[in-house]
Amino acid sequence: MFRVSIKNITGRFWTLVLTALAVVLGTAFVAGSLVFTDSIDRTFNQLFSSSSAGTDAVVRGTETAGSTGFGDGREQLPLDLATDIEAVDGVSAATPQIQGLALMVGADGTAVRNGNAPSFGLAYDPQSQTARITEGRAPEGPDEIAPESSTLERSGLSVGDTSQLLATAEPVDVTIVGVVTSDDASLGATSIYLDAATAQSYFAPQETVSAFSIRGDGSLSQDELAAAIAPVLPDAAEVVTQDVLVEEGREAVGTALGFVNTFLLVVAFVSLLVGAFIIFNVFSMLLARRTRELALLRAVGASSGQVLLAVLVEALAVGLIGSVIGLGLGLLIAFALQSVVGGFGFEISGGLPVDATTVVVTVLAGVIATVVSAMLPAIRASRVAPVAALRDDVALPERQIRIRALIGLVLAAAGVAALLTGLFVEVRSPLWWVGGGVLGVFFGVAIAAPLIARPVVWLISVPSVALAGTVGRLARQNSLRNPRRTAATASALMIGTALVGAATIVTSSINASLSDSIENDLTAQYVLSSGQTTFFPTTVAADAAELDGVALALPTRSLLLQLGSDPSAAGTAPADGTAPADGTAPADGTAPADGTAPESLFVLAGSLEETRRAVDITVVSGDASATGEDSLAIPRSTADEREWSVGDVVTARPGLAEPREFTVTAIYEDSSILQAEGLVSAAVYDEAVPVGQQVDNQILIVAADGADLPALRQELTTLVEPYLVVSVLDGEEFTSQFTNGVNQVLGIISALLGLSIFVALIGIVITLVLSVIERRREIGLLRAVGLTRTQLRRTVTLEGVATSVFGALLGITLGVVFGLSLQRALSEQGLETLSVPYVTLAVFLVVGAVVGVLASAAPAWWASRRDVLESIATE
Amino acid sequence: MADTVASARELVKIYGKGEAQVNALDGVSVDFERGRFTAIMGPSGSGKSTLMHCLAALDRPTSGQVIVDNVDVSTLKDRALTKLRRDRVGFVFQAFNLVPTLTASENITLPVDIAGRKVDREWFDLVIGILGLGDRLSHKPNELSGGQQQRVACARALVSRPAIVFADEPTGNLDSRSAAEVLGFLRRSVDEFGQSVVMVTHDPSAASYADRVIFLADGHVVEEMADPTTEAVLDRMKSFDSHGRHASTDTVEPTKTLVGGDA
Repeated sequence: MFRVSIKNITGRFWTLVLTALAVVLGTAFVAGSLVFTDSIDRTFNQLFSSSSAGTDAVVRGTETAGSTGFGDGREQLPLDLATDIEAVDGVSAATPQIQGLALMVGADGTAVRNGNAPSFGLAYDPQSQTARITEGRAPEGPDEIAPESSTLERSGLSVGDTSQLLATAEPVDVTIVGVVTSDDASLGATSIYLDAATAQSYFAPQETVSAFSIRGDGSLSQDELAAAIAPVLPDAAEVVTQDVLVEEGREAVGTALGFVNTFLLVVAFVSLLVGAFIIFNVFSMLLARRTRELALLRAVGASSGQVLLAVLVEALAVGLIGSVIGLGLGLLIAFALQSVVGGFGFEISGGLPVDATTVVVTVLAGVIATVVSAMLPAIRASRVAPVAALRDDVALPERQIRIRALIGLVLAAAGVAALLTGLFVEVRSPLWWVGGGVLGVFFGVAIAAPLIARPVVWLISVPSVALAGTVGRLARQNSLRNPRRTAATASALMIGTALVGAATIVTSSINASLSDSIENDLTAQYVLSSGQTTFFPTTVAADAAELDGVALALPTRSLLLQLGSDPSAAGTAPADGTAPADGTAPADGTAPADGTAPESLFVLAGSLEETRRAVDITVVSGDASATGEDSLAIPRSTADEREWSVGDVVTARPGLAEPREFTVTAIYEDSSILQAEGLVSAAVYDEAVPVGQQVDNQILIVAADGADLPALRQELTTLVEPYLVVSVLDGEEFTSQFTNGVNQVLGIISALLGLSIFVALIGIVITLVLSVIERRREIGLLRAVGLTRTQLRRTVTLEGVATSVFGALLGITLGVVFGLSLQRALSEQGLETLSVPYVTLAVFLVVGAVVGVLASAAPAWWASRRDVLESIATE
Repeated sequence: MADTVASARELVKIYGKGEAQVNALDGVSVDFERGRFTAIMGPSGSGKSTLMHCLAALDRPTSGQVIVDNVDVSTLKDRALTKLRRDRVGFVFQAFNLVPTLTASENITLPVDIAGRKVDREWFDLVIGILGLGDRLSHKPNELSGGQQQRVACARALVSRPAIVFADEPTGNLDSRSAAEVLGFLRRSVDEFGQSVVMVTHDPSAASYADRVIFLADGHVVEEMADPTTEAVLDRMKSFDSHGRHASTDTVEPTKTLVGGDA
């Protein structure tokens, strides 16, 4: 029987190619995601090991609440601690890590940035082994800088040119005196080196830093060095070896990228699922064509088990070949993903690593998907009666369509039930319920789809029959001829469309909800904003407040209150790009950090009374006018969660300040502009956050009564102009800043899921090609009695369009169901407004039709080029 | 030659190249009269099907000229050829004559529908009546017997009133009673409607329905017979079989051989 399998494969080159294509596309994304995440991993490994050169250990402040693992959110250590450390035997140097956010102006007059990657200013260390001056000289004094080489390249300037530096104070004119080449993988961040004193004045004005790099003199191992240093450190400091630091970095990255990995694997799974539908379909068609041959095998004595085995061995081989090619294509996909991510400013230098795991997982996934998908058609084929070999007109036994529909509907219903359970009922792992539910619905609908294929496709074809007459009718008959096949082909398209559709509805609802609440709640006339990842000096807020037309300039500054009795473990909300200081904290209102500090409160600086002038906030209870330094205003959600009420006293440590007692003075209704767990007075912030870390990225501007608004806007624009990254937004523009981010995420999700639509498109191509092959003689007959090539092409195209539009319709329907369920489930979390983007959904339908046209182009052309005679010749 | 509906001049059709070259037609010249029933006969590989395919604009000859209803087919492009087949030629094949997704009625009117023309109802009813298909019109092909399917194919071939009907072994897959019905109908279409019919067959009794039989062997017209009877045709066929290739090559064109090259 093995020989039969092998012969079957070699004898059917083209059909093999088509089947393998489905496997290739299905597995390519699996391989692509794996290679991509490995390359990210490797990039970080390079980053951490290259930055470790010349550093043996790091002394740093102990972790405080809200640490992100990147060295911030730590106790500040005095700069002169370096002297104590250097006195330890075995230590060659202890260099304070002085760095902060800094931008320079490029040749075109705008800030030099790389996408959304951060922009750093650093102290240049002449003894550093990782960052060296490679051109010009080291910077000296406040008016000289040495940008890192790729940053300089990006700026369009060169050594000797003048520029402006924007750090934590007002912009300064500077001269570029040198270029630094750094071994540290920058991941796309821009770096500007300053001399140590200048850097210190910007980033460590209080003569404190969060870490020191320690270089040994070579006499001690890393561990011994750390052990030697530990005794001289204060309580607030700790020493870790470079090896430990690298490991920590990797873990942190692993956590941060876990989401990306999961999402990519979900997308990979989706494309594999779509691929499986296609494989199933192709095998069904191929085996149907070979019924007589299989029956002949049975007639000459092969058992049905042997027939089954022969088909499965064939599937195994196709799966194997397809997965190996898919692996190759996966490298291309990974490369494309790297380019996309690079476009966002995150440069990946890890190459395209192919691990053994990647190979094994991809090939296993491909082979298993192929064999499992081929199982059902194979079983059906193995049941063919030997007598079928003798009959002229044979068909595989079709199972009762009604039983099939029943199974499908039950499965779909179970899927919906699981989905709703996951969304609305408190269960242990809701994601599995939701995922399983969605899968159940997909399979259920796919199984039941042949039942509705007849009436729906009939309806879809009404326009084509009306417009194309006989050609349209022929096309309709062709798509209706095998509802099972049409449905399976359409189901592949359904999956991608449904997921993109659901994502669109959720996004649209988020946008609508955000717009509703932000536009309603914002009473400030203007917002000075630098976007979500860039910051500007706090001087802007002070200057803006001085303007005549401004009644209030309220910066949105955040910090963490460490709750509870342990005063040694409090922290700041680092205002340096690791926390969303613009108030766009995660919607659930928890701390923006990695979740290791659940007992902290993410609060904004500003009294409730002041804030209410810029944002419309309804006070539920308490005294809104309390402005004392110990007053704490909390939203209703925090009050409910913590079971606090007005008058309660809370002990908390604000940032790096001393622990103190706060009194809950007011409870207000949650606001989507203030996505924080509370409000404290601005004075608390000044104490809690070191001056060098105080930066803004958003200031709400309330105009004075009777102010000339256009004139005010002009004044504000002039004011922020030197700061490059700051723009003046009105309420509507401010809202779109939020919605733009959401739309961008939707764009990425759709693009990735769109790949599964491409796989589905290939599926339609395969189905059409096979059905053209199958109908070879019928097509020949039609051509013989006078169907022109154009008419034939049109017939095939209309058939493809009917299939794809059917798939798009199924997908849109399911997308609406999924989107609606998600919106309902998330309505508590602020997704109150349901918005179904009808126009977008209609566009999906058009896209579905376009997919059909594209998919049928090649098969239609191919069919029309077949030789008429060859087709009608009797065998 | 007003009474010629189709003709071939010095028709050559070569398949393959070099060693594998086969001269399926080796300079065939023949005329088919309008309003007559002509049968083409010959042993397997004689080139009879190739001749018909070239005449019916289904295949292009290597060289030579084909004229159908006063149109020089050899000059036409695919689109014009398709139109010619649709409007001036009717077909009946040995098998797979009908589109399985269409009803009998839709199959019959298919060429007219494709052309986007109106069906001549009176003519349609007349043809259907003669063929006895009145109660089968809404049936799909798989609900019809082989004989019924072939009668539907005949109706389709006639309904657009083509200049000529080509039938390729129309009775090859039928039992003798059904075959007689189909052949009887083709005969009636010639006698009653003046239809021109060309039929390829290897069955002497089928050929006996024709007005004239043309015998082909090795890509040549070797003989023709007017008003054939089954017995006469059978005798003629037997002589081919017993003498084989030599009988024909010796008598007709002694200098030529079947396969390009030497004998």
